[in-house]
Formats: sequence, C-alpha cells, structure tokens
Amino acid sequence: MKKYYLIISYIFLLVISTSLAFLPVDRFEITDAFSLNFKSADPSGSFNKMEGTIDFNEQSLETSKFNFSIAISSIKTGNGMRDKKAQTEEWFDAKKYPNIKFVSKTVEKEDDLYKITGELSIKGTTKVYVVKAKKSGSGNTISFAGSINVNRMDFKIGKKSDVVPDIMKVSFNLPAEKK
Amino acid sequence: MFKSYFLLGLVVSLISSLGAAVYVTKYYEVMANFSLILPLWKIIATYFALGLSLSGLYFLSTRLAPKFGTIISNIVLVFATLGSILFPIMKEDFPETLEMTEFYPGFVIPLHFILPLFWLALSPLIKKNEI
Repeated sequence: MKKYYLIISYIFLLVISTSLAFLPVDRFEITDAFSLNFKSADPSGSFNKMEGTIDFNEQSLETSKFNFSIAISSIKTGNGMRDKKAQTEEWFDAKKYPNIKFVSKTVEKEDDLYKITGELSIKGTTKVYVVKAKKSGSGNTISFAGSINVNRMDFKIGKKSDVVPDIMKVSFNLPAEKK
Repeated sequence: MFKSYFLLGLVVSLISSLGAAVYVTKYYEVMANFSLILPLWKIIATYFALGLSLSGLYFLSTRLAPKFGTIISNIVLVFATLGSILFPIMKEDFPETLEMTEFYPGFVIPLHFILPLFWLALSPLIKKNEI
C-alpha cells in the first residue's frame, strides 16, 4: 500500500510541475487604438506611440504581467513649441531616456477592478506605482482602462513651478489583441 | 530503490531552485530583466519536472540494465544538457518591448547546467544506499 502512495505522489508531482512548466501564457499585444492622456490645470495632452504586452490569465493572476513602453517623442500637448521643450534635458531628456516604461510586479483582483502594482520608470528614475484598471472584453480582444496620478517631481521632470502643477492625472485605455 | 530516486529528484529540484532563485533574482536586478518571458516560477516548475523525470529515468534504466543503466543515463543527461543550450541561442521571437535580448543566451545557459550538476553531484548517494 505504501508503495502505491509513493507512485501516486510521484505521478501527481510530475504532472503538476510539467503542466506548470509548459503552462501557455495568454499574451495580448496593445493595439494602435490605445489612448494615453495626461491632464492638469496646464498642460494637458497625450502620448501617441506606445507598445507593450499583457500576459493575462484570469484564473492565474500571479502569472499575469503588464509591460509597456511609451515613446516620449510622441507627446502631443497641442502646442508644437511645448512638445519640443518636453524633449529637452530639463523635462523628459528624451535623448537619454527615450521611453517611459512600466513593468508590473503583481496583479490582484479587487472587486471589479484589477490592482496592478509595478515599476514606473521615467527619466532614469524608477518608482513603484499602483494602478487600478477595469477590464472589458474577453476572448481574443480585451481592454484595460483606468487612471493614475503621477507626481512629475518624483521623476525630476521639469522644475517646481506655479504654472505647471506637480500632479498629472494620466488616464488610459489599452485595447489588446491576442498574439 | 524507487523511494531513493524519488527523494533524490525532490532534493535536487529543491536545491537547484534555490540556486536559480538567487542567480535569477540578482541577474534581473543588476543586469537585464527577462521575467516577462522567463519568470522564476516557470524555472522552478521546470526544475521539478526535470528532477522528477530524471528520478524515473534513472530508476527505470538501473532496473532494466543494472550494470550499465546509470552510465547510459548519465550520458543521455550530458548530451541532453549540451543539446538544450541550442534553444536559447536560437531563440529569436522576443517581445518588442524586451531590451538587451542579446544577453538572453548568456543568462539562460548557466540555468541549463544547475540541475544536471546537482544531480550528478548527489546521485552517488543512491549507490551508497544500494550497498
């Protein structure tokens, strides 16, 4: 009897570990229909170029991962001069740091929202941010939407000023298609 | 006999996982982060799958060929390990957002050797038990 227990536990562990090792990850790619806007008293605008992937498995959130890269060069504030200024060393220093990056560390479900904790890297500084997003869609097309407040002073973007507020509200809608 | 191989598979998988956890965590922190395509949990699951598969392979081979089973399995393990390094070298389908992919083979290849080395180091314990 003991021998059977041994063989059963061996087979059980082998099946579990092999299934996990070959567990397919549902990978989605952000489509061009995304929107990424920032809003403050002044300025407001958007980023028009980003790429990224979402590894998302509702049944296994611990294996889910969000990974984005946003091109600084694609900033649009409705003022060409200001867009150019945003690229300079004082602001985003786009020459040295051409992209804003976000890589998630954990994904948890909180009521009907997903709480995504990850590292946001801007201008060579990385901070942990928690983003709450609402998921819509299913199957091959999903979408995550939400907003976060980003303190530009955390990343040394520009100088403290009475004209440009420190906090920028960033809202996003990220439609993604299965790869 | 099977119990010894089973136990060896578990111990080797566990030690290899600990070794990999230290290496991978440090590498992702200091060099390049490949957790998008190779998260730690997947490495640990693979080590347990391999460790337990080796338990089965060595047990069966020593049963079927008591004299040469171990040496044949050792040779298979060595060739399989050496052959497996071709996979990271040939990998090309990286996500566009992943950076420093040129470091990927150099990062992964040591991982291919951790488990086989621990297995070969600890498997003589089974011989002792046999005697």
